Amino acid sequence: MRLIDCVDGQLKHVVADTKLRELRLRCGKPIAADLNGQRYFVTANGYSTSDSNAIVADGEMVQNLFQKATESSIYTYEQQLMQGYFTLSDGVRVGVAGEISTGASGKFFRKINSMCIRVPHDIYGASSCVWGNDCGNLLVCGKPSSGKTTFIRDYAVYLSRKRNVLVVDERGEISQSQGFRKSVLCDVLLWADKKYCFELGIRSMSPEVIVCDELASDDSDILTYALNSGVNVVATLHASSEQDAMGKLGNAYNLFQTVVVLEDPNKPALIIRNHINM
Amino acid sequence: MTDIVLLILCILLGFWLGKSWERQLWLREEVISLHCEFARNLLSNVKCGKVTMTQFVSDFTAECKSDAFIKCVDKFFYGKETSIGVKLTTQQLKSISDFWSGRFTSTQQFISHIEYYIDYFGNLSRQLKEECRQRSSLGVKLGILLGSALGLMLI
Repeated sequence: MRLIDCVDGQLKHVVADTKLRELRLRCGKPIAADLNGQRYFVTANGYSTSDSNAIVADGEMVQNLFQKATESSIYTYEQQLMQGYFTLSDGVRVGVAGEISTGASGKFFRKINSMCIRVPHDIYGASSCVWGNDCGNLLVCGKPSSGKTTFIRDYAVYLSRKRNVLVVDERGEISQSQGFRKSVLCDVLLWADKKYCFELGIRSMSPEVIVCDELASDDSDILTYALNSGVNVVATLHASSEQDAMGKLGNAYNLFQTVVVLEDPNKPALIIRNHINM
Repeated sequence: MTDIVLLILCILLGFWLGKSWERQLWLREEVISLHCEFARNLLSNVKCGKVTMTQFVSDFTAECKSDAFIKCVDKFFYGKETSIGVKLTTQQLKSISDFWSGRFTSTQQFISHIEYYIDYFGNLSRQLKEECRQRSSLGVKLGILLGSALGLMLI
């Protein structure tokens, strides 16, 4: 299911807007949209910076959108949903919040009150600051919504023309966008955890580079495994500075020869460490 | 001679009307029992198959031979403006509509909803079957009787 097929009325125009990065629906609150980093409220005629004429999302609107996005098949999305989000077929990530209950089979959402819809972007040249360099292992750090995934998606497309690239896409956020699908020449492992995909991918596809999203502090084993197998890793990390990144990854941080920090999607990326070219 | 033909035509008309009424009764039962079967299969799918609802509905209707059930799916699941062509009571229509329009945020809620409707449609289907058995033969008999009466009046 694509996002455009899940919405009606004015939201259809909003979703069709190529500048849309994020859409937020909260029960009883005005609908907010992020257009190229600027925050607006959705009105019947378009957008406004004031919330006075904004369309207010009611419970039914949120429920209907949730129902359509999950194709009336909550049972196929529940595993993803328990991590707080699910991904649509066009790579749009739908985050949800609401009331959580615990039952015999684990935790589940009793009521959905808010949805945060993040639209992936293909920005050609988003990673151009590292083009032409041999980056070795590349770590891209940044706060949420700073453009980390956009960066590695673009870099994967760029690299795939020169080397054998394997994209490990646990949540479908890297590989499901239209632009990526059209222009990339790489292999993709989707919807499975990194550890499994790294082992399987290295064994079966002989990649030279593995691209993956959002490293966690306990991922150092798989990084070491990839490096010992002669495979470079390009990954993102939720961290706002080099210190944050070091704190989160510990010794595994030193495995990266190049580290890029993204402060803001509208500002150029900052290369703070490049052991190969310095 | 004309009188005899007229009488036979009236009897045939009565028979046809009685048969149509009987068909309507069975059609109602068919729609409800198919909903019960659909709900049972859907429950198995939710627990084991995990095919999306859209795909499941599409697969089920592809094998279903009942136009009335397919029209119910068109009307209540796909939201098309269509008449289902079966005379159901307001309560029965509301139940079918509620079955299709449930909103869920967890699999557990979804399963409870389906289980409730398996029971509901199962009981209703049994009631309608019984009703059909008792009343269906009456329709044809009554039709023939009224047709004969009308024919005799016209002679």
